[in-house]
Amino acid sequence: MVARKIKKSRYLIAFLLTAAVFTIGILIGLLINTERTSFLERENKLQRLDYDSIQLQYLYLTNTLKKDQDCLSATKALEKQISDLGVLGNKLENFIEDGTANIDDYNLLKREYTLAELRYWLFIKNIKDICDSDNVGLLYFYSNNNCDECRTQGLILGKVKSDLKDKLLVFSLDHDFNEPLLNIIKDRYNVTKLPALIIDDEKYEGLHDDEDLLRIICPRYQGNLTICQAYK
Amino acid sequence: MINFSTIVIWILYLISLYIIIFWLLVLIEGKKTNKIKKLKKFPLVSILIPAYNEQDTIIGVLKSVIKLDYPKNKLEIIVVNDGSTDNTANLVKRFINENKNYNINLINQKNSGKGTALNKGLNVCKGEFFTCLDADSFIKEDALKKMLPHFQDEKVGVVLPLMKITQPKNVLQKIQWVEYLINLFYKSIMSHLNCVHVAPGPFSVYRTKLLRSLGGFDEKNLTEDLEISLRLQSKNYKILQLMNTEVYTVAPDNLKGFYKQRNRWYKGTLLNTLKYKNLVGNKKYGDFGIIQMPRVAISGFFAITALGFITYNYVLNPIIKRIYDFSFINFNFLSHLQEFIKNFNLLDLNYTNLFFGIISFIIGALVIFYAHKYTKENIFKHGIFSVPVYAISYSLLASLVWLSVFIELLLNKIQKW
Repeated sequence: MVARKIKKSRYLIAFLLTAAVFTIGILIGLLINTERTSFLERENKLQRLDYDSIQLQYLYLTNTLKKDQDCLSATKALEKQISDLGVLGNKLENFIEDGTANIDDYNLLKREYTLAELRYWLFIKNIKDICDSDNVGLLYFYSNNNCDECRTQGLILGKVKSDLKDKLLVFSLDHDFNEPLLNIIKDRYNVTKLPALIIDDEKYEGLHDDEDLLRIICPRYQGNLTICQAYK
Repeated sequence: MINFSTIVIWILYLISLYIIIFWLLVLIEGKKTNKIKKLKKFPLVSILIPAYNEQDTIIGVLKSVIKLDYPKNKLEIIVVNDGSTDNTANLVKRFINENKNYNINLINQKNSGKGTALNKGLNVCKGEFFTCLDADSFIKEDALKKMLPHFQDEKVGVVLPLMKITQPKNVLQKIQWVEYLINLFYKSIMSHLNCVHVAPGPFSVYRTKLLRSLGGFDEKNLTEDLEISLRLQSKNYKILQLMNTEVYTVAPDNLKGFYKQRNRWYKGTLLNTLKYKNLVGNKKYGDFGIIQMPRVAISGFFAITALGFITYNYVLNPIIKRIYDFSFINFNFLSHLQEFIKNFNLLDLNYTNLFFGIISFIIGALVIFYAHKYTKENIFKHGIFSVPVYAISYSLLASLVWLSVFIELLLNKIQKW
C-alpha cells in the first residue's frame, strides 16, 4: 500500500500563481481606471474651453449686425459640442458600470459633466434670439437604479438623435445624482416618475417610443426636416 | 456594478484556475519513472467478456483477444452471456469449437447486469490478473505485454490503457473523441499524483487476489468501475494510467444514448462520493483526499452553478434586455452599431475581463495541445472542427446532464418524503 504524502509546497505554489494571475487582472483594472480618469479629465477640460469659446462667439454676435454667416457656423459648433458632451456622458456612465471604477474620482467627473450639461441647456435657452437657430433642446432624466425603462428610453433617444442629428440637443441627467442645481430643476418641473423628458418647459413622464417623440419634437422646428414630414 | 452573480462567477473562475494550475504543476514536475523490467515469465491472465445481445460484435472482440501478443496457454477467456435473447451464445460456442487451442469458456446466466457478470467471472477465474473487455471494445496486440510489467510495483492494484473512441463518425462522437483524449491527459496527471478516481470498464487490468480480498464488484452500484476504484484508493492502492497502449471503445452516436450514459455516470459519481464521503478532505489519503475527492464531489454542483450564472449573466439577461429595448426602435441595429463604432474608444474595453479571458483561452489551448501530444494523436485527425466544436459545446452538454441528474435526485427525494 502507498504511503500517502502531501507535498505542501505544490499547494502553496499553485495558490501563489493563482493569486498572481488574479492580482495582475486587478492591476490591469486599476491601470485602465487611471487611464480612463485622465482621459475624462482631459475631455472635460477641452469641453470647458469649447464652452468658453462658444460663449464668446455669441457675445461677439450680439454686437454685430451682419450675422447670417457667423451665426450659422456658431450654431453648428454649439450643436456639435452638445452632441460630443452626450457621448462623453455615456462613456462616463459605462466606466462607472464597469465595476472597477473608483467612485470618488468618478463622482467629481460626473458632477463636472452634470454642470456642463446644465450650462449648455441654459445657454441655448438664452441665445435663441441672438441667432435664429432651429434646434430643440431636450432634458432627459434617467436613473441607474431600478429603472429598466430608462435604459430603453436611452436607446430610443439614441435612435431619434441619429435621425434628427444635431438638430436635437439631448441633455442627459442622472436623477439620483446629488447636485444643488439639479435639485432645483427637478423641483421646478416636479419630476416624480422616470424616465422624464423636458422639452421647451413641458414635462413628459414615462416611456415614449420614437414615434411619440417625433410627434412631440417635430412641430417645434421652423424649417422642414425630411424625417419630420409625417409628424407635423 | 459588482452584483451577486458576478461574485459567484469570479469565485468559480478562481477555484478552477487554482485546480488547473495545480495540475499543470504536477505535469511540469514530471514523473519519477520507475525502471520497468520486461516480463521474465508470463502470469496467467483472465479476460472476462460480459455480453448481452452482442451478436454483431462478439466475434470481433474474441478475435482481437486471441490475437494478443501473449502465450496462448497463459490466457483464460471467459464470456459471460448475460441472458442474451439473440444469437450471441451460439456464435460464441461455434468460436470455441473453431479455436480449441485457446482456453475459452462460456458461462450463461439469467439477465442480471454487468456487475453480477463481473463477479461471476471473478469467482471462477484462475488468472493472477483479471481484466474485462466489453463486447464493443477492441485492444491492441501489445496490451498485456505493455501493462503487466507495471505490476512489479506491489502497490499497483490496477493498470489502465489509453481508452479512445473507435472511428468517431458524427459530431457527437467527435466531441467525445476530444473529450476522451483530454480526460486521458488529465488521468495521466492524476496517475503521477496517485489520484486516479475511476478505472473504466474496458481492459483495466486488476490483481485478481486483491479484487477478491476486497469482496469483488459492487453489483448494485450504478457505476461499479468508479466504486471499485474509490475502494482501492481508500485502501491506498495505486491506479496507474499508461500512455503507451490503447483500448478502443464505442461512444454513443446520438444524444439520447449520450444522455443515458452520462446520466448513469454522473449519478454514480454523486452517489459513490456520498458513499466514500469520509475520504473527502481527509489528510490521511494525501492528495487524493485533499484535492481530488473534493473536486469530484463538487464537480456537478460546480457545473450547474457555472451554467446557471454564466447563462443568466452573459446570455439570458443581456439578450432579453436587448430584445425588449430594440423592439422599440424596430430592431434597427445598424444605426446603433454605427453610433457605437463612431464613438468607440480603446478605453471602452473591459481589460480585466479580457485578461482573464485570454488566460482561460491559453490554458484551454495548452490542455488541448498536450492532450493530443500525450495520447499521440493529431489535433486535426477528425477534421479541423472537432476541437472548436468540443470547446464550444462540451461544457454545455455536460452541465445540462448534471442539471437533470440533480433535478431527478431531488424529485426522488421529494417522492420519498
